Amino acid sequence: MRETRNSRLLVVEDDQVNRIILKRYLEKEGHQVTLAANGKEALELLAKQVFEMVLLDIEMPVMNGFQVLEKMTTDPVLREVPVVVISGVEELNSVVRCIQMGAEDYLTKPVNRILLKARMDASLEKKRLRDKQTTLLRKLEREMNIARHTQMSILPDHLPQQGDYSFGALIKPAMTVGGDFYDAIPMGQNRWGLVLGDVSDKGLPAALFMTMTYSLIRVMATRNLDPGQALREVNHYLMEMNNDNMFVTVVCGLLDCANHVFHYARAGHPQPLWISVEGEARQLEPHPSQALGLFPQPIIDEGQVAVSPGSLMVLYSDGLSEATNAQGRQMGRSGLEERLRQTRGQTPQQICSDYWHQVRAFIGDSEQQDDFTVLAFRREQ
Amino acid sequence: MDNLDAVDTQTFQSLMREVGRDYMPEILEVYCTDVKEQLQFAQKALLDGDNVEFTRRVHTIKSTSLSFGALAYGALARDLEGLGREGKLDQARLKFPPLLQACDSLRGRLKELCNA
Repeated sequence: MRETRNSRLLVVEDDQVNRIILKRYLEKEGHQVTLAANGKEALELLAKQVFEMVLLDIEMPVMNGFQVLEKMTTDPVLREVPVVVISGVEELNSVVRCIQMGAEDYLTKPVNRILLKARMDASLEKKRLRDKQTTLLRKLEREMNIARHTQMSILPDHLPQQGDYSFGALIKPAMTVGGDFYDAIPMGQNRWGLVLGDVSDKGLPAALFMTMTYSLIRVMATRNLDPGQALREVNHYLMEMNNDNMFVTVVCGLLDCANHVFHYARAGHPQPLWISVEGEARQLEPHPSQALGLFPQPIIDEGQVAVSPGSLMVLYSDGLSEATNAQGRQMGRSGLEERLRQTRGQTPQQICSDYWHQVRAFIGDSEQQDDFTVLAFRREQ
Repeated sequence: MDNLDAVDTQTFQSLMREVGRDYMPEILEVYCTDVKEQLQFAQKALLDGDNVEFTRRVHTIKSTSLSFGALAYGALARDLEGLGREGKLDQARLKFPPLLQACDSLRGRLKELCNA
């Protein structure tokens, strides 16, 4: 254990002799010692000065050790200051109470200098490690927030403005940064590349893999490949750069707003929801498909559908369909179709928000387990 | 009464070693002055029937006396503290005088050890 010296210590002890003896002991160990004769004086000093540790007597006039501990544990700053209680041997019940109230350790009177040093060193070392941990966590939190802003900034600023079509999108990462993404890429006049992906796992590794996938898809979009071919090319590069067995499911498509055709490709991703103007649920041809990043030649489900007037399509990640409540039940796809029938009169953006509200209401107080992303479009006429 | 001024020399020497020989007379002086003061307050508390004040004063005497190795003196103070906590001031009144009377001889014994 590291030997601690030069720490700022507060000794709270009503007895003058014990106070002087403790001060002497501690100064000989190289610490800076401030004395308080009772709890009230101690709290006044704690409010004005920073101490790395408090040595606290229990029985004192004016304000006793319990009262000091009570105040310290309810103060967000003071509760981080370790307290070593000093007591008589017959006061063990009081010591137990102090430890239950948050005291770090205890010493009995008369205080043995060797024991005092050992307990002080141990408590100060623990505090040093806790402080270091707190600093690192704050730094990590700051960096994660920057990462979140960076990640969110690569998502589209605005959705397509296309005469006969309206669009909506919403993303809600489960953690500060997430593995879901969506994109709307202009592919020439009246043509839009729509993409929604979901990287395995969550947090920073998923966010980095997501950024890589996102960038590769953007590059492929410039090559004017059909959606299936674009995903195969993305897979090729992901296989080369993926050493951690991460994978990504993607659904993407080329929406031709002039000819009202959606040419889609799906790699291990849930099928989009699709509903006619009359509210009839439709299905894309059900074919198997595999996620990207796992196999050299993944099975890609490709197809083409005509987009009829008033029909609505919703691309989504499993953070919607597999949202899980406290009882372990999932939202499920059938519920999503039913909801879409009810909300189909709303704008695509409202529909996306409605799904998010549905998820929040469904999971209640449970933690959001997975990233939530929805991208919706409708042919208005 | 006879043994109340007895001092455990090992405890005393250990304290003197830890605080420093040069510093010991000063601490001892503080102790002796403080005990006298605490005894006066304790005596007054007994007369007033104030068991809380009495307990607090003998608690302090107990605590500091043990630090100097005045084990018998500290033990009597501890007994008196117990009686004070239980509100048995009648019994405390009977046991208190020896504590008062042994104060000066204890002081002499401690100074003797300090100068040895």
